[in-house]
Amino acid sequence: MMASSTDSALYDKVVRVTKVYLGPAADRFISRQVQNHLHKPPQELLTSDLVKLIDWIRVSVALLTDDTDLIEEYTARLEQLTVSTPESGKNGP
Amino acid sequence: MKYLRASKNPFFYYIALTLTFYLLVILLPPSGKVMATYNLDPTEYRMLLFLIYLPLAIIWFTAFYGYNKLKQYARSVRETPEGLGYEGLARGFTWLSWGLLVPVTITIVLHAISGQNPNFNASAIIISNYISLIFPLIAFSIINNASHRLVSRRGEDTTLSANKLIMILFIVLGVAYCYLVFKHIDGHGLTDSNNPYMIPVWLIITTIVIPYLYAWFVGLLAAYDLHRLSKRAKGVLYRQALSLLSRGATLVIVSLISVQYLRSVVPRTGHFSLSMTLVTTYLIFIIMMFGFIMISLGASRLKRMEDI
Repeated sequence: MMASSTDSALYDKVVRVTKVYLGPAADRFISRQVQNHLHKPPQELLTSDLVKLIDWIRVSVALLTDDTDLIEEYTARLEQLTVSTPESGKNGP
Repeated sequence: MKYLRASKNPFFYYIALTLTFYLLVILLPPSGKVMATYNLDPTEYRMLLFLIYLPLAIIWFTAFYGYNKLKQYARSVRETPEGLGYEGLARGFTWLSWGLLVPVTITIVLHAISGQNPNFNASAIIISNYISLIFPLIAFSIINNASHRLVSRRGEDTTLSANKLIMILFIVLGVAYCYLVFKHIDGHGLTDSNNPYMIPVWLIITTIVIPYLYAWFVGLLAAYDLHRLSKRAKGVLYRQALSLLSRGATLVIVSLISVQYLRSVVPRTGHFSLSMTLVTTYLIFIIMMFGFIMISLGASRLKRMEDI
């Protein structure tokens, strides 16, 4: 798959990880992060966007909790997606 | 236009109703019976009443603040599958909060009238009893429907066998309540209205005892449903916020049931009295206040998840 192609499966994976922390609010939360900070429709999320998205998520989740361990755990799980989704070729070695 | 916007704000109503209440406390004619009992002149009577009722303003504020936060959250998730459930919950707590302020305001007016016109005393007691019943009855029914909707959306249902503890608690509460109420009407015939409730016994049973028991049962079930929802919800942060909201709702429901319990087993006399009942009522109100604060915090956290 090309880096510029849409990757709704990636979006779903990000939402699935987020559900562990934000439950039913996860889909809406990620959708807003992608639209407001990456300025694109959620379904067009690319692996190359993940690093920037994770940074924004870290900032946003810090507004919801003071539990830094939880934030680290969450973002670490999201970072794993950049490794396990190498098809974009931009974030891989 | 500005007025219309303000009138939609719960705090507009809070300020208007609270000011009306305290003005009534100061302006209404004092009760001769109370002044004689506590050896007070009219100014002392009004000052005492004002000081005793003053903490209520804080309790009402937390209630209005709590339901407003819940309303804001419900509005932010209106389009989602949980939207209807949270909207119902907010509506229920709105009724519950108004039910703290409106009946007490009407009651002091009725007591003032009956103080001037003793023939009105029975009517004042009857109207006060029914007004105090109607708000929680509606509120608990709405909250129960809403919490049931939220729980059943997750494919779960409130089965009576699943909450034996609630049933046992309710049976104990109900039997003790009936015993304490019937103690006041012991020796009276079914059609006799010469009792502290000023209505025939059959009416006490059908229009006070049964509706209260129903309201408490659905209220306790709602608290249990919200507790289950918060325990089983997905998402660590979501669960934490929901747990705060659910514990707050439980505190409010249980403390309100306790106040109603106390008020109906210690019948109204038609005038104000300084007693242990008053002290106990205030202690319960303080617990209720913490409940509303927890609801506000939980709803604010949930709302923040929808905002950022």
